[in-house]
Parts: sequence; C-alpha cells; structure tokens
Amino acid sequence: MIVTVESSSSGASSLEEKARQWRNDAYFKNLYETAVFWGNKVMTMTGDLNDVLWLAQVHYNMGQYISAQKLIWNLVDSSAIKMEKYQEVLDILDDENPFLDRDYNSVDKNTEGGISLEASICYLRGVAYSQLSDLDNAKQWFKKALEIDVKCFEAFNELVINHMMTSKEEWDFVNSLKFEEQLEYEEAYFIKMNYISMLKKYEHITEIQEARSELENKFRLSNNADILLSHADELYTQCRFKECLEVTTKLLELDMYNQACLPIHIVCLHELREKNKLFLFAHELVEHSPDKAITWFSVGCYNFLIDQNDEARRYFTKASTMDSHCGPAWVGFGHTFAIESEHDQAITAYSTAAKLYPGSHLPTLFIGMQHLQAKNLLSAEEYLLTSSQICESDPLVLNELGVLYFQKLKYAQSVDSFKNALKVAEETKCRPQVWETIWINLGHAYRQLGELDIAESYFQKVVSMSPPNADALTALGYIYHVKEEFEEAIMYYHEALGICPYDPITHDLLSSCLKEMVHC
Amino acid sequence: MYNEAGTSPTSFESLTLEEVGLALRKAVTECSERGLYFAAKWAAETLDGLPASSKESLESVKMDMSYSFFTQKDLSTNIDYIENDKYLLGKSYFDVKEFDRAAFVLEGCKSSKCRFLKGYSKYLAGEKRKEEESQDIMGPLDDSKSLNKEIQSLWEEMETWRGESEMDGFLIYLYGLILKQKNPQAKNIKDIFLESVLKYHYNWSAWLELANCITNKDMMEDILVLLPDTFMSRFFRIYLSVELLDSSKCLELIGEVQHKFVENKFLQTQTAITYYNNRDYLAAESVFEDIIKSDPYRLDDIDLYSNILYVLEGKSAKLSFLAHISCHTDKFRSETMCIVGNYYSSKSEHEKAISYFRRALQVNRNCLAAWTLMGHEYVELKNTHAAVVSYKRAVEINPKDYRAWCGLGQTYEMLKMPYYAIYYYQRSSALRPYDARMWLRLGALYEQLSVPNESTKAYNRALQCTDIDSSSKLQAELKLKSLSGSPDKDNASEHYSE
Repeated sequence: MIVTVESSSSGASSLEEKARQWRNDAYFKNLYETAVFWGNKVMTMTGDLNDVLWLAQVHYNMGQYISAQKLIWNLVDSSAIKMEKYQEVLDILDDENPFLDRDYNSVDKNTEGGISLEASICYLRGVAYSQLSDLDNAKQWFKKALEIDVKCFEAFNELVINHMMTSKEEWDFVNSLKFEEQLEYEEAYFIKMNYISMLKKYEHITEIQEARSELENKFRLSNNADILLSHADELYTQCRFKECLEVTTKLLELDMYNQACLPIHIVCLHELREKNKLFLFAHELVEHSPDKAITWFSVGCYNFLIDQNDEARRYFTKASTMDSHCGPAWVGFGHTFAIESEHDQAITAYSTAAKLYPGSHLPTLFIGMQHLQAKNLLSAEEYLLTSSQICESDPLVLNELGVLYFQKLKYAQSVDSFKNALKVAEETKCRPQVWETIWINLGHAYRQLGELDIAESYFQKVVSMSPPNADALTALGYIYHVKEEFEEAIMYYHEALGICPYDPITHDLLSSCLKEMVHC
Repeated sequence: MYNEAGTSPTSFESLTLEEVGLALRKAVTECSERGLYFAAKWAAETLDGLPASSKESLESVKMDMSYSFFTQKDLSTNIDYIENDKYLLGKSYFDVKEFDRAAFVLEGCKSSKCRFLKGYSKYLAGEKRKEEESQDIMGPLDDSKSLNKEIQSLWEEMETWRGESEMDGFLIYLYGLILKQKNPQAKNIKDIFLESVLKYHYNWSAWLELANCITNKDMMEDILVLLPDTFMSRFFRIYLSVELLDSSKCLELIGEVQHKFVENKFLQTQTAITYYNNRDYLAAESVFEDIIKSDPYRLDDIDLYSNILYVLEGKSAKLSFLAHISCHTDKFRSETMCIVGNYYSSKSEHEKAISYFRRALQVNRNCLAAWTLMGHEYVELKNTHAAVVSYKRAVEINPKDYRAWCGLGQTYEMLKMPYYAIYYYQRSSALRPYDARMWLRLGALYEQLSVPNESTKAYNRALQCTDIDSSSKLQAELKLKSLSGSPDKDNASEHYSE
C-alpha cells in the first residue's frame, strides 16, 4: 500500500520528529495501538498530508476500515473496495477530482518517494471500473496511472494479465511511457526491462529475450519468480509445453501459490496429458485454496482431460461463478461444448471470454474455428480476420485462415496463408510438432492445385514425424495412385490402414488401386 | 579404447585365430558392459567355437584383463574413470531391470559408455511400458500401434549429443534404434547401422539391424561393397543370404569360413535353416539333431526344428519329445511356446495351438514365427479375418517372410477377393521366384479375371521352377494349351474364312 517513507529528518529533533519516529517504530513492530496514539498526535500537531496518510494506513492494517475511511479519501477507496462498494468508490473519486487538472507531464523526478498519490488514485478508479465490467474506462485509468507514475506496477499488471491490450498496443504503450523523465537512468531501465519481459510473447520476441537476459545478468535476477514466469509464458506461446512445464515446476517450488503461474502450469499438464500429476495438483489446490477460481479451473481441466465432459463443465462453471473475470474458465467451458460439436453453445462461452480479454485473439480464434466447423464460412472469415488483426503472428490463426480459403476452394490463397503460418512458426521458434498440421494442409492445397511433387514433399515431411500420421500416408498413396505408380501407392495405403484399420476412404482407394494394377 | 578392435579390423584372409579370439573376448566384455546381452552371448558363443590354438599367450591375457583406463597416466581427466562409480550403480539397476532408475542416476554423465547405458535404459523402459499397454494379443485391447513414449525425448537428447561430439559405434547403434521407431520410413536407417558396425565392428545386434534394413539382393550388393572383408562381415553375408533365401550362395559362403570356425553354432544353425528353406527337411533335421546333442539346453532357433518335424511324416514322437525338453528348459520362452503350438497343431488341436502361439506373442510381440504360424492355424479354422490380421502383423515385422505373404494371398483367395490375392502372391513370388506354388495360383487368378497375357506368363514361370510336382506340371501345361488355344482358334477361323 501507500507508505511514504520519509527520509530521516535533518537533525532538528523536535517533538514532532520524535513522535513520528515512535509512530513508525511501533508500526513496524505491529504495535498498532501505540502507532495510532502517536500518529494521531503528530497529525494534529502538523496537519501534514503525509501524517494523515500514515495514520490511515495504521487503521487500515488494523482492519478498522471505517476509521480509515474517515481519514482520507484515498484510503477510503481501497477500504471501500475491500467492502465491495464499487459504485461508492466512484462517487467519492468523482471524475472532477482536483488531481485531474494537473499537468502530469511535468511531474518531477520522484525517485526517493514511493508511488505518487495521484497514480494510486487513478489505479483505484481503474479497479472500480473493472469490477463494474466497464473495461474501456478501466483500461483508460490504468494507463493514466502509469503515465503519472511508471512505478505503479499494479496498474500495469492489471493491464497485462487481463489482456486488456493487443500485443501491438502493449508494445506501443510501454515505449510511450516516460521512464527517463520520471526516474534516474538505471532505475528507468530496470523498470522498463521488467515491463517488457511481461508483454505478450507473439511479437518482439528478441527484444523480450534481451530484456530478460539483461535482468538476469545485469541485475542478478536469474531465479526471480517473475523472470521465470516470463520465460514460461514465452515457451507456452511457442507450444513448447514440456520445457514450459519444467520452468513452471521450478517456479512453483520457489513460490507454491504464484497466481500468475498456476494457469500456465495447469494448461501445460493438460497439454502433456499428465493425468496423474494434474490430479494431484488439483487436489492440492482444493485443499489449500478452495476459495480461488483457478482451483476449480484446474479440477475442470482434469475432468476435461479424462473425457468427463459433464463434470468438467460443472467445475468450469463453478470457477466462473466464483470469479466472473476468470477467462480461462470460460474458454474451458467453451471447449467442453466444442468437443461435442455443440457449436452454438461453444460460441456463447467463447464470446464471454472475448469480452473479458479484449486484447487476446484466442477467444475470437476459437469462435472462428467453431463457425468453420459448422460451415458458416462467412462468419468464420469475419472472426478469423478479427483475430488476425488482434494478433498478426500466431501461426494457428494463419493456419485456420488457410483452411477457410481451402473450404472456399481458393487454393492459391490458402497456400499463401499456410506459407505465412509456416514462416511465423519458424520466426517464433515454435516446436516442430506445431508445423505438422500446417504441412498436411499445405500438401492438400498443393494437391488441389495439381502440384503433385510439391504436395508430396510436404506429406513426406509429415510422415517423418513421430507418431506417423495416417491422413498423410493416405494422401501420399493417393499421389502415387494418380501418378500410376501402384506399388508405392499400395504400400502407403497399407501403412495408413495399419494405423487406422477401418478408414473407408483408404479402403476404397486401395481396392481400386489393386484393380487398376491388374488391368492397366 | 576401441582402436585395435574398432577402427581397423583385419581382413579375413590374413586373420589369425588368435586375433579373432582377442577381438571377440573384448567384444563380450564391451557389449555386456552396455547391457547388450544378446550381442555378448553371440560373441561368446562364437569365441567358444574357436579351436584351442586361438588362446593367446599369458602376457597378452594379463594386458587385456585390466580396465583400459588403468593403463592411462592421467586419471583426473579420464571421463570413464571419473564416472565409473555412477556407471557401476546405473549398471546394477539395469541388471535388476530397474531401467528408469538406471537412467535417472546416469543423467548428465558425459562418457560414451554412461550415455549409452542411460539412453538404452530409457529406451527399454519405454519398450516395457509399450508392451504392457498392448498386452492382449488380437483382443479388444490389443493396440499394435501403441508407441514407445520415450522415443521423442530420447531423440532430441541424442540429436544434441550428436552435435556435441563424435558418437562411438554403440551410441550410433542406439541412435539407429530410436530413429527406426520414430520413423520407420526414414531412408537413412541403413546408413546409420552401417556407420555403427564400421565404428564398432563386433556388436552383432547392430549387424542384425543392418540386415533387417536390406530387402533385396541389389541392396545387399550395395552394402557389401562398403564393408571390409572381415570374419564379422562374412558372418553377416551368410546371415543375409539365408534371409534372402539365396541357398546356394549361402552354402558356398559357409564352406569358405568353415575351416576356421569348426565348431560354430551360428554356422550350424544357418546351414540347417538353408536346408529347411530348400525344403531338404531330412538334411536340416540331422543338423539340428547335432546341435541339440552338443547343446541340449539351447532354445535359440529351435522352433525351426519343430517346424521341420511338423512337416516330416512320422516324427510326431520326436516333436513331442522336443516340446517336453524345451518346456523343461524354459516354459516362458517364445520358442518353447511355438514348439508346443506346433505339437498341438500336428495333433489337429488348432484352438490349443493358437493359444500357445498367442502366449509366445505375449512374451515377445515381435516373434515373427508365432504370427505366421498363428495365421496358418486360423486358416485351418476358416477364420479368415483373424488369419489376415496375423499374417499382416508378420509382414510388418519382417517383410521378407514369403510364407506370410503367401498366406495372405491364400486367405484373400478364400475371401473371393482376387485383386488382393494377386497382389500378395506377387509379393511372395518376388521373394521366392522359383517356387511353383505361387505362380500356379497367380496363373489361375489372372485367368479368372480374364487377363490371358498375365496368366500365360505365370504358368510359364511355374513350368520353369524345378520343384514343381508332376500333377501340377500337367495341369499348367493343359492350361497353357487352352490359353494359347483360343487366339489360335480365332486365327484358324480367320484362315478358314479366307
């Protein structure tokens, strides 16, 4: 909270100074009654704003929110927030409050003191708006808080973890902040690097990696939780789930209940199909923090993993009722419908997530995918394009766009999309397994264009992956079949049938191939 | 460490038996140090078969007995020495089949030996789990495509090792095993096993893997050019020509080396198998008799002996005797189960026979003989679906098994699917071009599908085979006459009308 530690006074040990020292001393020793006693006296003697704050702070820590509320607005607001009277906060912090008239750009360098009062008020206003689900206003106030004082981490954190901005917006915003004007060079650099390391990892990967290595080497933060988190987030974005899990495991060893790390850890366990570990982890969470939404999200994930869709849905609902801002729970809820091809219900759930996280392209992408599966090509295109506007460099979006064009029979355009997806996947150093789907799609697109040799080269790449993909094997067989190289075609069809013995398409192709071979 | 043994093997002609002995003695130690027990067993068997004159002088034995690193001056930089205690622990776990644990303690070791043992332990741990997952042979839970889940991470790790430093022959062997599972289609599997045997010459398991990659004679010739002429490569050639059913070449090759390796079990078995493939069952039987006499508890390849006894008439008492002694030796070997299965089959108890072949497969899923034999049993019981599945499994394991391809042809013929049958008979006759049975079937099938040209070709091929019996010969000749008859008739009628 807002503790303005004063630099010890300049020798003149007046009574006020003495009283201040005793008050502070008592406060740090948790002797709150004593602190209230001295604080009260000093406040009356000096009438200094800082002394008022100090007293309010003591009351706040004693849980005497009403006393605190009486003392000062600022603390009134956070007290009120604790009491969930959000509208009241906004009434008190009326938009016409005096701080608004100040010219923030002329704020002096403030390196000694803590976070400026103005910034914290802006932050609180943002929190109030976000609790009232007015995310536009919330975003404006969080941004304002940081413009006034870049040290106001909580505002930045809210902006980032709730995906309020797209990755481009985030990048521009961080670069527009006035670090150097407000702080000494080294501190400014330090904070900027910290912020950069927290951004979305779809773009500016090299800059983010550099920022992290600066923090690790120059500022000796190599095992710091936030740095590990940033690394985990990057690995997760690149779909390197195994490595990501190693990092999150290490992080959770340092800090078992790191809230930001939990969702990544849970989703990684899900992706790696670590049923047993996820089961234990969810149980531990239920035991230690049954009041957190993320706990029930993890239980939902476990049930989703073991194909218990109904149960999973129940727990995702539980998580989202506990905290209606829990985006992952809404996405999970949507997935349970998507897997049963309940497109409409899935879309409704994803839409809620999209509203909560306007800066994340994933909910829109999922909606687009549902429309694509339901063959609503028009809506699918709309959503996929929106998604690609939010995030230009996620290979998944580009891949889905390619599939869309493929279904619209625009094969050349679809080839372009898939190639872009591959390029981005290479740039972001995604795990090769991600490429597999794109290769298959490219192969099919080239096959439709009649470029059999190029198509074959992509299918061959897929077949060389482990485990072998039956679809690609059938496609290879078909290419040889068309080329009338029956021996090869039959071999590939057989291999495909070895993996999926009851695939009717491959069966029909094989029979006609054997017949053609005899009669050719 | 591998200098004398590994990089420059002596050529076959200039080789003294003492040198062979030295190399094999070393190979036994080095293979078993790495848990390659089958390779070690092979080397020891071959070593034991050498004449007494191959024993070296006492001096060189002394040199050889010591750990190789004790002869080095600076132990502090010798990675084998530094990691020796870790190695010993890992090896002990490996020996009691705690593979994951062995891999765990060897994590991070740098020496080739430790790395091999680590990777190999992890590989075997994955194999063990894979086997357990797909326990039920051809039952509802039989998942023939279940994967070794360690492969991907092992592959990534070995790729980094390959980048770091040069790998020795053993590591390359492991690398090949992993690649083979990861991507059975990969074109370079053969080259990797070739590299392995060139770097370390006495790992018989690597030679076997190399042989598995070779599916025809052209490929064999290509490989042989790249190999030095050593006793190992001679054995390899013998093994390969047996696999490729090139009987005359095989007996010739065995003749060339027999004077040096008089009492060699491997050569004896290969001779027996060659006779068996030639359908010279009596000769094969007598060789197996000799083998059993000198090595009464042997089970390796003895299931082939039971096949021979099964085919020969009036040998049922012998087959029963063989089944009993092999049960006594080890009830749970796949060879034993195959022998017992053959016994029950000879008594026309096909259900019982199937249950034994199935047990053989539970012990060893890659037991080729059991899959093929089980296919035959299902054909007897007219269970065509199960027969197809069994034969297909057999050719997946070894596409050089002409019996299984032929079985598939027969089964599809029973199913009235002539196009499929033709394909499978073709595969079979490609492996065994001088077997009249397949050509006769092909001729009939083409005739049925009214493709007279192909039919004529097939019957002609059948007549070229030496093993054709008189009634089939007569039949083929008649068919040919009727096939050539019809166009002739047309011609005749044309002449007539003129």
